[in-house]
Amino acid sequence: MILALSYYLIISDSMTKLFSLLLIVLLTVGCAGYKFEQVENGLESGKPTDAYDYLKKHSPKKPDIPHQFELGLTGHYADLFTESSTAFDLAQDIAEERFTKSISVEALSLVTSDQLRPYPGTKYERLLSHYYSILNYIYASKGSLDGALVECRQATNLIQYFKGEEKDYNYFAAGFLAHLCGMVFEAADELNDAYISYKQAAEYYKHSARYTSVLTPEDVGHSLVRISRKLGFTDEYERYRQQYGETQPIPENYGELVLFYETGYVPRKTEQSLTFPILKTDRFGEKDNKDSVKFARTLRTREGMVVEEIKLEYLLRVAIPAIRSKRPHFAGIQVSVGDHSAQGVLIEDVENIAIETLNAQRTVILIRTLARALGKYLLFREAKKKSTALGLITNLAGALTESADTRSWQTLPNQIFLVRLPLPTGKHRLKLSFLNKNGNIRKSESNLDVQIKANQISFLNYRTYD
Amino acid sequence: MYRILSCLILSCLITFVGCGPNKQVSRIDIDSTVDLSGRWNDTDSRLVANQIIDECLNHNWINNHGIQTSSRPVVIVGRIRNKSKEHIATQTFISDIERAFINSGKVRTVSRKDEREEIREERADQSENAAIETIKRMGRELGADYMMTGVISTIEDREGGKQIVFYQTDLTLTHIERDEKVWIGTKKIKKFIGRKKFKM
Repeated sequence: MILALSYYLIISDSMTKLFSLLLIVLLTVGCAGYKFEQVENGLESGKPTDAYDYLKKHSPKKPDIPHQFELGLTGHYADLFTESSTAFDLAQDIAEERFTKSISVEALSLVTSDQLRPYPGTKYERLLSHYYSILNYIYASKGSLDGALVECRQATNLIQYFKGEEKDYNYFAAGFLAHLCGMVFEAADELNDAYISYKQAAEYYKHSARYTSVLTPEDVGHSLVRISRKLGFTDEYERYRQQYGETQPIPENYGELVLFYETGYVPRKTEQSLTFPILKTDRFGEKDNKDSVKFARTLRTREGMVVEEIKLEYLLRVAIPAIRSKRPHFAGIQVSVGDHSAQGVLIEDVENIAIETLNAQRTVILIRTLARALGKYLLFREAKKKSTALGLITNLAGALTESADTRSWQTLPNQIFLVRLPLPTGKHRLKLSFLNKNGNIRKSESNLDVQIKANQISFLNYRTYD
Repeated sequence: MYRILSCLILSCLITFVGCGPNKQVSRIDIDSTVDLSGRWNDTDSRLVANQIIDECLNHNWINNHGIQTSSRPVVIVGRIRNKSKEHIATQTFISDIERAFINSGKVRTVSRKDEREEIREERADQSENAAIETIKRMGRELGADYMMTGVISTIEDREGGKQIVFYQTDLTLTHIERDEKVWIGTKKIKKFIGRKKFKM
C-alpha cells in the first residue's frame, strides 16, 4: 500500500518531484554528524571526558539514537553519572516514541534510503543501556541503591514487554540484565525480588544460549540456592541444592566484589554490496509486472548468481548492512587479591547478539532494499525513455541516495565477563590479569581499588580496548 | 535545466527550514495539570499529598490524641520509599506532605533528620558568634509524637501501544513512643498511555 502510494506519487508526477525528494534525502542524510574514530581516541587514551565532550559538541539538533547511547556510555566512563543516565533516559524515550511509525517517512524511505527511517534501537541496546544506568546510580549514590533499583524494575518491565510483543523473542541481553538485577536486589536486601530476578536470569540465559553460546553462569544457580535458603523456601531450596550443589556461606566480616570486565568494541556494521541479475525473460517493468516487492522476493534467491550477458537485462547493485566478527585480544580475566582469586565468567557476548540480531533482520532488509532498488530501476527506465541524459541523472541520483543503514551503538563492548569474589572487609588493590582466548595471561595491571564492607556487595566495572 | 535548479533551491529551503529553531516557551499555572510522558509528575505528587493528608487529618487518631494530651500532635515525615519503576523525586513528595500538614493547622510538624543537622549546626554557630541575647538554646527541640512513613509502588501492564500504569501510595502514621500504627492511608492513581502505530 505504502509502496504503491510512493510509486504513484513518483511515477504519475513529473521527474522534478523525484529530484526534489532525492535531494532532500541527500541533504538530510548528509547532516549526520560525528566521527567514531574521535570517540575511540578519547576512550582508548584514557580521556573519556574528551570523547563525551566531542559527542556533546556534535549532537544532532534534535536528540537522536544511537547518539544518545554513545553519549550515555562515554559519560559513564567519564564519571558523569547524572549526565550519562539523562542521556540513557532520553534514548529510552526516543525508542518509545518510535513505536509510532511515520507513514510519510516510511514511504519516502522505500524509494530513497533506509537511513531516512528513524533508528529505534535494538532490544539488546535498550537493555544494555539499563546496565550502565544501574551502575551510574550505584556509583553516584554512594550507598543508597534506590535509583539502581528503579532501573532494575524498568529493565524487568522492558523484558516482560519484549516477551509479550514477540512470540519468538530471543532474550538477547535479558539473562545478563536479570542476573545483574538479582545482584542489585540482593545488595539492597530485597530478597524476594532478587529470587525472582535470579529465576528469570536462569530462564533467559537458557533461551538465548542457542544463539549466543553463553551458558547460564554457575553464579545464578548458586544464588538461587542461597536466596531460597534465606527466604525459607524449603522445597525450592532442596530442588536447587540438588541441581546446583550446596553453597558456602560468606564468612563473618566478609563482603563481596562484583566486577564486570568489558572487552574491546562490538564490531561495527559495514556496508556490503550485492548484485542481483534481472533477466530478459523476467519482463520486469512491463505492463502487468511492476510489483517491486513481489519481484524482490524472486530476485532475493539470485544473490551473487552469474548469468550470461546475453540473458542479462540489468545487473542490480544494492548495499545492505553487515557485521563481521572482530574479537579483541583479551578474552577473559583473572582477579586476585592476596590469597583470594577468581576467574571471570562470560555473561554477555555482545558481538554474537549484534550479529544474530542483524542476521534475523537480513531477509526483511534485503527485500526492502531490493524493492527500493527495483523502484529506482523503473524510474531510470522511464527517464531513459525521455532522454539519455535524464536517465543518467536518475541513475546517479538513485545510486547516491542508496546506502546501507549501518547505525548502531558502537561504543558497546565486545564481551562482558563477571567476577564475583568474597573478600574480607577493608580496602583492597585488585590485580587484574587479562587472558587471551587460550586462557593465558597476556597482561596484568594493579591499579584498581575496591572498598569492601561486611555483608555488602561492591559493584565495579572495568573496560579494556585491546 | 531550469526545473532541476528550482528543485535544488526548493530542497535546500525545505531542509534548512526543517533544521531551524523549534522551541516554544510559555508560562503555565503551577496548579494546572499537564501530562506529557505519562510518568509520575508534580500534579500527582501534589494531589496525592493533599488528598491522603486530608484523609489522615479527618481520622480519629487526631481526636484521640487531643483527648489524651490536650495538645496538637507533633508529626515528623520520615522516609517515603520509592519502590516504583520511575525515578520519583520523593523529597518533593515529602515537602508536599509537610505543606499539607502545616497548612491544615491541625498538627505541628518538625524538621526531618537531614534538615535538623543544618539547624543544629546553626545553633552551635550562634553559641559562638551571635549576640548573647539572641542565642537560641540547645536541647529545646520539639520531639515528635508520630512519624509518617510510606511507599510508592507501581504496577505496569502493557501490550503493543497500550500501557496502563497503576501507582499506589501507602502512608503509615506510627506513634513513636508506643510503636503503634494509628493510621494507614492509601491513594491510587491509574494512567493510560496510548501510542499510535502510525502517524502521517
